[in-house]
Amino acid sequence: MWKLWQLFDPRQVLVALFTFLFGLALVIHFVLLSTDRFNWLEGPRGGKTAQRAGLPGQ
Amino acid sequence: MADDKGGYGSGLTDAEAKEFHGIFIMSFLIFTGIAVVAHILVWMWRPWLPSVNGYSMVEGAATAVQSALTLLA
Repeated sequence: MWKLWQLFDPRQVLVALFTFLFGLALVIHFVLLSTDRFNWLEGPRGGKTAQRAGLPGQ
Repeated sequence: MADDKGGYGSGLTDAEAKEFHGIFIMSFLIFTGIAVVAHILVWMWRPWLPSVNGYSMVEGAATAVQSALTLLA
């Protein structure tokens, strides 16, 4: 397994890996922020039912 | 000038490759451990596998988690 590092240059692997992981983390955090349930900053924006059209007591 | 002493690859010696591999695996395990802890904390905060009727809190969190678990079983 360690021979891998004789095939691929560790510096390039690390740079690529960090870039990829950082991008993935950004995407996931923003996807979660865009949801109601997992928005840890402002909580449910629309509220549970208020958002859905045609609900009584809109 | 970095002369490539022939042969393809990164030019690391066996010892260097082994040393780097050890550090790489250790870092990977630490990273994964942190990620597992983070996911456990988030699951305790808000589980993310809704039952068939979504995250409706009508029947309460317990039953929501219960039905979510049936998803896993």
